[in-house]
Amino acid sequence: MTRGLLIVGAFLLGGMSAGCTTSPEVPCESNEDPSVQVVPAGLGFDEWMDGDDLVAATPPQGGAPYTPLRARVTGLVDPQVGVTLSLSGVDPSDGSEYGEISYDTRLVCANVGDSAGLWLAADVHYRYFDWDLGELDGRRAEISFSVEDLDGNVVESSLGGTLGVP
Amino acid sequence: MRTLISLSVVALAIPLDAFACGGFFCNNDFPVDQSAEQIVFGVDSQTGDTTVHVTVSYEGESDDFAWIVPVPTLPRLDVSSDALFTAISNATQPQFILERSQTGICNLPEFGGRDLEDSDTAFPTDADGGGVEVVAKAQVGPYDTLTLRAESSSELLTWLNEAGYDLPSNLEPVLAPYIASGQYFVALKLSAGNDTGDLAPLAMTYPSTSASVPIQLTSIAATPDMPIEVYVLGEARAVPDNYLHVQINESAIDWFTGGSNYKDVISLAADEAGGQAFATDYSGTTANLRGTLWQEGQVNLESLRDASSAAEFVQMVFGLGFPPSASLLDALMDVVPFPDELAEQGLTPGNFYDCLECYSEYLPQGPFDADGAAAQFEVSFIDGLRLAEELFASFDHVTRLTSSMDASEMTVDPMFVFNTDMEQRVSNIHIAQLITHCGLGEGWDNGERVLELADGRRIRLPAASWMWENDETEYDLMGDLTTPAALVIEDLSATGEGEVLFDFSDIAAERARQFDRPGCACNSGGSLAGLWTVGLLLLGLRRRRA
Repeated sequence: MTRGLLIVGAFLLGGMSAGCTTSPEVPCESNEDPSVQVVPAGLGFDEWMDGDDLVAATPPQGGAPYTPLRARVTGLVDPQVGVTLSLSGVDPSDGSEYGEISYDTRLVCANVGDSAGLWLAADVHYRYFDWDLGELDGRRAEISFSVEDLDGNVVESSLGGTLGVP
Repeated sequence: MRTLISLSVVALAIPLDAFACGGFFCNNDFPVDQSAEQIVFGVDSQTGDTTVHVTVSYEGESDDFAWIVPVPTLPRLDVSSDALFTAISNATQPQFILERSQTGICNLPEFGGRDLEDSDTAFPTDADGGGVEVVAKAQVGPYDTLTLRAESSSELLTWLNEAGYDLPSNLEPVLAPYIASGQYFVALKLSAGNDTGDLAPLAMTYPSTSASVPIQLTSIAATPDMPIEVYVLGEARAVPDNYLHVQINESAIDWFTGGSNYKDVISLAADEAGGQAFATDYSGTTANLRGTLWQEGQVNLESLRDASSAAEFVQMVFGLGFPPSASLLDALMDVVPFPDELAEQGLTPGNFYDCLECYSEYLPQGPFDADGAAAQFEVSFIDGLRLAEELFASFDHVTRLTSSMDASEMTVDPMFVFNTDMEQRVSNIHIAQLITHCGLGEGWDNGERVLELADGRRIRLPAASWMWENDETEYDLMGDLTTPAALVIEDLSATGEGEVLFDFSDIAAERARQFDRPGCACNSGGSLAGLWTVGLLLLGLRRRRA
């Protein structure tokens, strides 16, 4: 009986003396070189070549055509707190402007996949207000993309291609 | 006068205690439950039509009421039923169940241990065009409706102002994207003889195969951290197409209070995903909903034509077995108007209809037109039930998605698409196990406990008695384990399994293993390893001696 209690006590002692480890931390730093990479939605960030076809489509809710994009960002300050995304488009072949759109959002820190450690804007819709989908088919588009953090730091990029209607 | 444009899609909920009082409607006025914006879509990919049911809420004078909502194409308008929102919400509501069990032999407490369960107007429709086209106008239920198109938001605002709306000054930029994308606007005002007590849910059907919530317009009248519930009925599971999707971290749920913090968890999870994200509360069959709102022949409507008085008619309606609801109250008000004099005396419609004979002097005199009343009741109430029931009959699958947003986050209208590649079933029933280890005859309240989540995480918790002595709650004690609220953040679309952007599963599992329960300078994983190590050593020692 005494030995049995000793064994139970030893088990408890063993449990109490077991070691502790620290928790792993989620990545995403803001001290890297500021940059932004933007690609059409549905493509990996290494799958887009500037000049490739850009999809223009009617969004599911109807209305003005759009090109869905995604972007990843480094080097901005607290993009999880807030950033302003600004997009504008132009047809470089004749200078026609597709319009500007800007909105506030917050970015998500990816911790898996090929964007792990980077800040993501997963669904960015560039809308061609005042344009019909048929007018866009086959036109060229140069879309400028900028992200500004709350400290006023700005990263910019652009992508260009021929608009195709699926 | 100030008219508030409101795209509030808020359910008129029936408080549970309504059933505990003496009358049919008791003394409630079916207060608007502003705890969540609710919207129900039925998306028919075969016919190419989408039907959206929304509740219309408004606080203010009836003369000021106005309501406007953008729709992608010219809609057909009908009156819906608030019973739809009650039924679909109840059937898909997330539930968090903590199943308790024990190991060993637990002695019941000898004295008073704390019970764990307890511890816890008509339109001026001839307004000048001015860049605004009136595409259609109709009376729908209590509403005079207009369907409009406009060339610019300023022209639309001017037109609406001339039509009797006094609109918020910050509305123009909010309307602009809808006008730029060629959307229609459905505008409502109460028709003559109706007041805000008559507000009924509206159903809009239009050619489209998508579900999109015009959340940008909601931002004008949004409350902070406004919960949003979207129900999409259709051929398959619906997912957010342009918002992120979050899977909830079940250790963020307060299991010991039945998941009472669920809305907070959703809000935090959406924030962690950048403020624009939805969680799936439920995805599955509509079979359990079919027939719950209306079945032809379930009541004998013809019997209402035998009523000899308004009071008898109302009593006969009560006898048909419909639960009290705002829609039912609205329908009765169409048949037997609620006298203004009684309203001025502070009486509620519920008081009035509960005891019509008490107010006989206020009732219309002369013979009662039972045929007309029965026909009106069918149009005002039964047709709404039929329309809502049609949703359940037409679609096999329903998905409930929830989020919580501030006005500043309502910059993009969320769109939902069907995805047949993903797991189609998401249960709204969540179960965790609480196992109390009593050892040999330990008091049940002194046994250490393990909270085991569905994903296999095991979180060691101190004995219930320790919690009482230290005036702690399990949820507070779990501390860091309750964060983040989103276990997984993913980008979903119409095809494939989606792209995971953030996955905290492994870290959460590790944290659970390392969780140091109070009174023990150890961690759960190490604890078990240590126990086995010392135990084996001692057993080896015994054998050697033997």
